[in-house]
Amino acid sequence: MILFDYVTPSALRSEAGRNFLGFTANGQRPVRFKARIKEEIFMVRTALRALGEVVWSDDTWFADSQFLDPIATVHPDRVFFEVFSSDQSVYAQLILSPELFEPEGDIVCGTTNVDFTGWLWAALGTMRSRRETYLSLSPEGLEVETRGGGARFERKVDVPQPWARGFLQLQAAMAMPGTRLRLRPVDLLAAIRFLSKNKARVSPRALRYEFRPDGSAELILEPWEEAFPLKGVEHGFKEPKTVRVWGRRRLKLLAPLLPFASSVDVYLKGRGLPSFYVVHLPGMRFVLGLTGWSAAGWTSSGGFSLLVDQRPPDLDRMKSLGERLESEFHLRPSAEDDRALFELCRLGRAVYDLEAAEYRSRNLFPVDFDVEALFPPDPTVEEAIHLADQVELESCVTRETSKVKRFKTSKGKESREIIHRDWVLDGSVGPESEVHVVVSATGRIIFGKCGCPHFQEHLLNQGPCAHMLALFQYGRDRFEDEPTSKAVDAETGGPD
Amino acid sequence: MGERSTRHQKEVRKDLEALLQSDLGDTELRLKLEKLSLEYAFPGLTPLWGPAIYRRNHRFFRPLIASKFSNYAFIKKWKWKPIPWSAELSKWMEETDRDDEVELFRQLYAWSLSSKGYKKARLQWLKDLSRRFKQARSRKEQQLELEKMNQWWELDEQTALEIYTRLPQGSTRFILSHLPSQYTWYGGLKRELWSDLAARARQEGDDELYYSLYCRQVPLEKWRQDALALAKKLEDSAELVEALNRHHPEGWGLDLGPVFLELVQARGVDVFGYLIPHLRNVRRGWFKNSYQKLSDLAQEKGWWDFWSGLVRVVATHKEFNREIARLVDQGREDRLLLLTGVSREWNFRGWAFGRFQALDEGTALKLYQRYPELVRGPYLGHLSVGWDRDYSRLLEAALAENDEALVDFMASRLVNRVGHYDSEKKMLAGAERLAAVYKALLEDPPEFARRAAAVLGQVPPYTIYCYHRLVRNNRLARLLYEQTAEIYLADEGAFQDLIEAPEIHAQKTAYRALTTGSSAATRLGKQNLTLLLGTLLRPLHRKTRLVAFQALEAICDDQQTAVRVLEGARQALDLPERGYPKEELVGLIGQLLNRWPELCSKREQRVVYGR
Repeated sequence: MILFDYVTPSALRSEAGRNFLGFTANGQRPVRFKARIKEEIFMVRTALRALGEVVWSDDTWFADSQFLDPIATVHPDRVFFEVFSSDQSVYAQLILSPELFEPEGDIVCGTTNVDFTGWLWAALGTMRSRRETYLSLSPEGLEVETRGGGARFERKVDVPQPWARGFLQLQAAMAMPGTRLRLRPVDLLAAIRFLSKNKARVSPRALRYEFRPDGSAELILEPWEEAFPLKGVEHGFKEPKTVRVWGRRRLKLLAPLLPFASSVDVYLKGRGLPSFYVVHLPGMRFVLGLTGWSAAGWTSSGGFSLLVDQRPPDLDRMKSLGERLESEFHLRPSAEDDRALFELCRLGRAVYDLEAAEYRSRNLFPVDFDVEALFPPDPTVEEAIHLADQVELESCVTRETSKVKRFKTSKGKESREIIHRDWVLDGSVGPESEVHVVVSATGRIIFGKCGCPHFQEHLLNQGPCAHMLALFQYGRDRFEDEPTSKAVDAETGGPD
Repeated sequence: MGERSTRHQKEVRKDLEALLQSDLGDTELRLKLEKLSLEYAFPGLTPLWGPAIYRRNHRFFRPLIASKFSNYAFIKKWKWKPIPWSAELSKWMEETDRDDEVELFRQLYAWSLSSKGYKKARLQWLKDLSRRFKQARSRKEQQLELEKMNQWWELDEQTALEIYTRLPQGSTRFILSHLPSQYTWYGGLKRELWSDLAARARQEGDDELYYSLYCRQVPLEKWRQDALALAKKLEDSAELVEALNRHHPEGWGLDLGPVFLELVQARGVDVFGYLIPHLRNVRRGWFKNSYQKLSDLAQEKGWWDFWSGLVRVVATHKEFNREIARLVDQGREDRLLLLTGVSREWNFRGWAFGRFQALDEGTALKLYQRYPELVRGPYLGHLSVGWDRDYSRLLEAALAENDEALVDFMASRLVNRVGHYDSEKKMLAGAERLAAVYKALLEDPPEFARRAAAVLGQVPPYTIYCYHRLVRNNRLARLLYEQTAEIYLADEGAFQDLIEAPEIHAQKTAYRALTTGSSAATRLGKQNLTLLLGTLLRPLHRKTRLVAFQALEAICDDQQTAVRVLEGARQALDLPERGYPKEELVGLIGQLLNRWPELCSKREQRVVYGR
C-alpha cells in the first residue's frame, strides 16, 4: 500500500503574460524543481499531452484497466517523467534536457509521483510560448490562494502487483541486446497514417522489419504486405533478417510528435519481444516502449523470465553500486557490474537508459517492496533453465494454414491468400525422449505433448511443463518469418 | 470470391445441396462454402448446412459455422423471418453438448427456447440449469455447465443458492452476472436482498459476493438501519468511511439524501469522506427535500466544504443562481469562491467531460457589478453562452468598463456563431456589436493584433463546422479571420498566440499572414519554422495545407531555411495519403529549387527535351 499525499491537484494557472505549470508531487517524497522554461514551450506542451494520452491509452478489447499517476525524476542533467498505459502494454518516458530550463531556488533531486488529471491535460492546451512559463514540481504544487476552497487530499493506493512487476520487467526488456535503427520520422508516420486509413479485418496483423544484405530495410504491414522503405537506415546484417512484432496500433501514440521530430531511433529486441521508439524533439526525447503484442502487457508473468540471467547477484556489489548511483545519478555498467545493476532495476532502484546504455538512479517506491512477491520463484521455469543444455532438437517444421480472403488494400479490393504459420518442434529433453511443442505465430506455446508426470497429471491446464519450455527456448531462434499473404486470382484461387 | 449477392433462397439451397452431396475434400468444400456464404440467403439455411458440416468435421468447420450461424432467414431486402426449431436441430444440439462445443451449444440452446415467451423460457432455463448442474460430477464439469448455460435470463435465489452451495469457488461471477435487474424506467425500485445466499456467502467468507449482493439488492430501509448502526458502532472516522463505502447501495435513481442527513446529524464531519463523493445520490424532485435540510444544517454548523459541494452538485440551476445572488448581496466573496468549479464530471479513457452550473444573465451581471475579478477569473467557466442566454447585458457592462479580458472571452464565444437558430441569430447582434469595437482598434495595429489573437486563441477546437457560412453571416468572424490576416504580424506575441491556437482556422489565419512575404512575415515565419514544418506532416484539410505551403515558400529568403523546408517537403512526398496535395507539394519543391538550383539532388536536375 502506497500513500499518495497531495496538497492540491496539479494545475496550470494563467495570468497576464505568465503560465504556471505546477505538478503536485507526493508529499511523502519531497522532490523540488522550480524553473522557467526558456524555450520550446510549444514542444513541452505537445510532449506532455502525448504523455497523458499514453496514461489513458488502452488497446485491449475488454478493458479492466486502472492507471497510476506518472513518476517524475529530477537529476542534475535531466528531468524525466515515466508513465504506464491503462492496459500496461505501453511505457513512455519524456526526458527534458536541462538546457530548456532556468532553475529558480534549490533543486532537490529524487523521484516522486505527480498528480495528473484529465483536466490538467486539457489545460495544457492553453499553454502559449509568448507567455513566460514556469514549471514547478514540488509537494506544495502551485501556491494557490484558495481562501478556504482547497484542501489536502490523500489517496491510498494499493499498487497492483502486475503494475509494479510490469514496470520492473521493463528494465529487463530495455537492457536486452537488440537492433538499433535510426529512421526518418516520415517513414514511421507513413505506416501510422496507412493504419489509420485502413482497417485490418483479418489477421495476422503484425509489423515486420525486413533487412536485406544490400543495406536496405523495409517496414511491412500485414495482411496487406504494404511495404514502407526505410530510407537512409543503416544496419550491418549480411544475410536477410526479419523481426516481427505485434500491437502496432499503439504506435499512433507517437503521431502528434512525429511531425516535429528530427529523427526516430528504433530498438528492436527480437521476434515478438518488446520494441522501443525514441523520438528526438527539440530539447527533449520521448521514449515509447511497446510489448510484443497488446495483450501480453509488461506485466504478464514469466514473459522474460527465460531470457534473464538467473545467476544470483553479488549483494555487496549491489550495495556499493546502489550508493554510487545515489551520489553520481548514472553509471555505465562494466561486464561484472551488469548483473548487480540489473538486480537494482528489479528492485525499482534504478532505470536503464536505452540511448546512453547506462543505468540511472530512480527509486520507484517510497518504501521497500516485497520483490519476492512480485517475482515469485517459478519452479517450472527454473527446471527449464536447468534442462537447457540437455535439449536435442530433432525437427523444427513450419506448418502453414492458408485461406483466401478478399479485403481492401491500397490498390482497391483484392483477393489475397492469408497464410497462418505455426512451428512444430520435436525433440528430447533430459529423460524425456518425446517432447512435442506447437508454437503460434505470436510466439506462444499453443499445444504440446510430453511423457513427464507433470504433463500426464495436468495436461496444459497449468501451463507447459519444464521440458516443453526448455525445447521451446532452444528452438525459438529457428522461427523464420516470411510474408503472410499473397495476391491470388479471384476466380481460380491461384497466384495472380 | 465475389461480392455479396441476393439470390433467392431456393437457388442457394439448390447449390448448397449439390455441394453437400458432392465428394469434395474438407478444404475444397470449405472454400466453396465460403464463396457461397456471401449470399444473403446462406445464413438462413443453417439447419441445412450446419449439422451436415458439423458432423463431417466439427473442428475444421467451426470458424465457418460460428461466423454464418443464424436463426433468422433472409427473405428479401429488409425482410427476415425466424427459423422454427426442429427435431433435426435438437439432435444437433445434443451432439454439440456431447462434444462440449460451448459456444455453439449456447446458441442452439437459446434458439430452442426462442419461440417461448420470456417467462416460460426463463423457467425452462432455470429448470435445465438446475438439472444439468446437479448431474455434473466434478468441479470441472460444473464450470463447464455454467459456461454452456450462460444465457441472458435472470436467476432466482433458489437456483443461485443451489449453484453456490455446490461450487462456492468459481460461481460468483456467473451469479452476479445473472442477478435480477431491479431498475424500472419510472424510478420505482423493488429491492429484495437474497438473504439466504448472502448468509451463505458470509459463511464462506466470500466478501466479494456478499457485498456485491448487498450493494445491488439491499432494500433502502435495511441499508438505513445498517448505516446508522455502523455510525453508532465505529468510532474511528476512517474505519467508518470505509465501512459505509462498502455498504453503499448501487442502483439507478436512488435518493439517499434522507439517510445522508441522519448520518451527518449523528456523526458530523466524520462522515464527510463518505458523503462528499456520493452527493449525486441526493435526488431532487417532489417530496424530496433533503437537499434543503442538509444545506441548512451545513450552514448552521459552518461546514462550508460540505455546503459548497451540495450547492455545486445537488442544487438546481435556479437554486445555484439564487445562492450566488444572496452571497453577492451579503458581500461574502470567500463563500463565492467556494462555489466555483465543476459540479459533476465523467471521466473515460482519454476523454472526460464536466458540468458547470451556468450563471444566468441577471446573476452574472450582479456578480460582475460587485466582484468583476471573480467573473473574469474563477467564474469564467460558469459563463455558458447557449440557446437560452447570450449575456448581452453583461457584454455591454464589460464594454462600458473596458474590461479587455472579459470582452475577449465573450468575443471568443460569439465569433463562431453561424446563426442556425433563433437565439443564435440574436448572438449575431452581439458579434456585430463586437465587430465594431474591434474594428475601431484597427487604428492601432499592434493593439488590434494582441486583442484579436486573444479572442481567436480562446475559441475551442472543433466548434466551427461551416466556415463559409460563418464568415458570410458573422461580421466579427469575417473581421478576425478573413479581413485582417496581415495585421497579426504587427505584434510578435499575438502572432505566436495565433499560430499555437488550438482551433485550426486561427492557425490558418496565421499561415495566411505569412504568405504576404513582408520582412515581418519572414522573420516570424523563421522563428516558428518547427511549427510550420510540422504542417507538412500533420493531418490537415487540403485548403489549410495549401495555405501552409504558400507560407513556407514565402518565408524562404535564404538558403539555410530553404534547405530545411526542402528536406521536410521531400519527406512529405513519402506519405501514403491519397488526399494529400502532392502536385502542389512538388510545386513548392520546384519553386524552391528554381530559386536555389544548387540544392537540386541528382534526380532533380533539369532536363531539356528536344526533337
